Amino acid sequence: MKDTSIQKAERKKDWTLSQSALRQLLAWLDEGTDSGGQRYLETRRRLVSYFDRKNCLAPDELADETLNRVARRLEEEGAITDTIPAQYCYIVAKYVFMEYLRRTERSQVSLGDLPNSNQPFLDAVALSDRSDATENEERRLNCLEQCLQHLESGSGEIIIQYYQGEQRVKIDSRRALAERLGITMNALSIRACRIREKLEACARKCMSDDG
Amino acid sequence: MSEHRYDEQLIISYLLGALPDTEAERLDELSLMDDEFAEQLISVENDLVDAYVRGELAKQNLGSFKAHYLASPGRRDKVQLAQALQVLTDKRAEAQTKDASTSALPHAEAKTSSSQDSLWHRFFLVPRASLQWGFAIVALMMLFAGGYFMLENARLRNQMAQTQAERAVLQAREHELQKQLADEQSADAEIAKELARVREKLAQLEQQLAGTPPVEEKVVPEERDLKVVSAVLAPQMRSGNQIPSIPVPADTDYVALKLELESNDFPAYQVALKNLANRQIIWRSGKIKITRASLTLPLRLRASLLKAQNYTLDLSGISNTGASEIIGSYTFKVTAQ
Repeated sequence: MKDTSIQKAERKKDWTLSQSALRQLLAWLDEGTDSGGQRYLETRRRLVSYFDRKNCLAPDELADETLNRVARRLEEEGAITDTIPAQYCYIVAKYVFMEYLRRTERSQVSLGDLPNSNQPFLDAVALSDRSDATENEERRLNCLEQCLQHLESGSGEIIIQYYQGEQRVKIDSRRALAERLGITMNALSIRACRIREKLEACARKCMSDDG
Repeated sequence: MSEHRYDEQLIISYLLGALPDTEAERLDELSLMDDEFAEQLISVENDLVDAYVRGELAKQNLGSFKAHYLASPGRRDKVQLAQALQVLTDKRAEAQTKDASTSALPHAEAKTSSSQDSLWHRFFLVPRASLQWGFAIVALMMLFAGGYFMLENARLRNQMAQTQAERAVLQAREHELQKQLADEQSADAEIAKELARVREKLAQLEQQLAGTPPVEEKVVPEERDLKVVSAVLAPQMRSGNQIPSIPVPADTDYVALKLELESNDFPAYQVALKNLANRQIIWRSGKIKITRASLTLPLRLRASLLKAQNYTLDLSGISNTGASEIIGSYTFKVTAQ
């Protein structure tokens, strides 16, 4: 018996990512190589950044929604062969974003009607003028210190030296660091970015754990 | 960086929401599909945030950064983390400097008291990082100044060498031009000599032309007998007031004249044909030589030179030195027949 469109929509809403679907998704993203889930994490990160650049309020959720839809289609169809994984994820992400826009347009509220606590902030530096800003800064610093300690050996030193100094001194310091590590400036930049990402993720988790 | 494939300024515009929709969409796709672009995007974003945190962000980007980039809670969080990271790295740098300076203290204590008190040791044991940085900056500035002066010296030497080389080239050119001028002047002299020779030759040829009989004439265009009108002319005073008339038919080729001489005192003669009315020279002969015993001077004129009017022939004697002297005039009238 053919499913009606209503039944299909209901199945979609009820669908959850199972272990097998996740494994299937990881394998499809890896395209034959085994990245140990790194490809999935990197794709998710890029999707979060994509939705964040679009000023979406919950970019993590939208990224997960995108990957869920991809996984569901993989489970239903068995395979997606008409396009490469990155491109397919982008296409699905665009649809998710457009749906998000339609939802937000329907539920738009004027700024004047928003309670004070929901008013958007426009300047991160202006936040430091608020009374709890200093406390937050200290917590953030403490979290960063702890996360720095927990980084792999050498990574902490790299990130500190990479961001030390100003302008010319910073550039010379980075050049010296690249030479010491035996890598190019470009490779050093990539490594520093990855360490910084880990540091940021760790610090955010630390801040949210502290409440 | 030159190693990157994508233009950094383009990525900054993308992050600040300053690109047209189609271009932004293209980069959206690249951010997911192209590994190199995705990495460069993170790097540029981090640099942008760090520049903002340090107050080094370009003015033209500051407004967009605050209005667009900081509109997202996630990105505001990133900026706050960047600020914290900056504070942390500055603290660590200061701590490292302190460690480096304080580690020198145990060595100082092991020395004798007189050396501990010396100005030299106090200079090196100054714990304040800012003073040490100051000295380092001064040393660096002196190094740069020294380097600059060395470069400037080398540049000026090079400039001087170039100027000297240019001067040598110009001097050589001057010599060359002077030589060329001298050569040209010499060539001019040669040309003038050649011209004189050619003129003399021409005069000789004309004389020959005037003296040879019609049968030796080779320039007659047609194969027929030449029509020549002959006449004998006496000098002006001897002929009296009457002007002799020479009828010249229309089909005449030449007018052969014989000028009677009162004496033959010159090695050569020259004749000038003039319009009697206005004394304008119509024709001049070359040097004409006659035998010592002869008292007539032959002359042949093309009939086409002559119209029905009065003419005079001024006879000049030419001495050995080349000096010329009018010795007689022969007036005649040409009439048409």
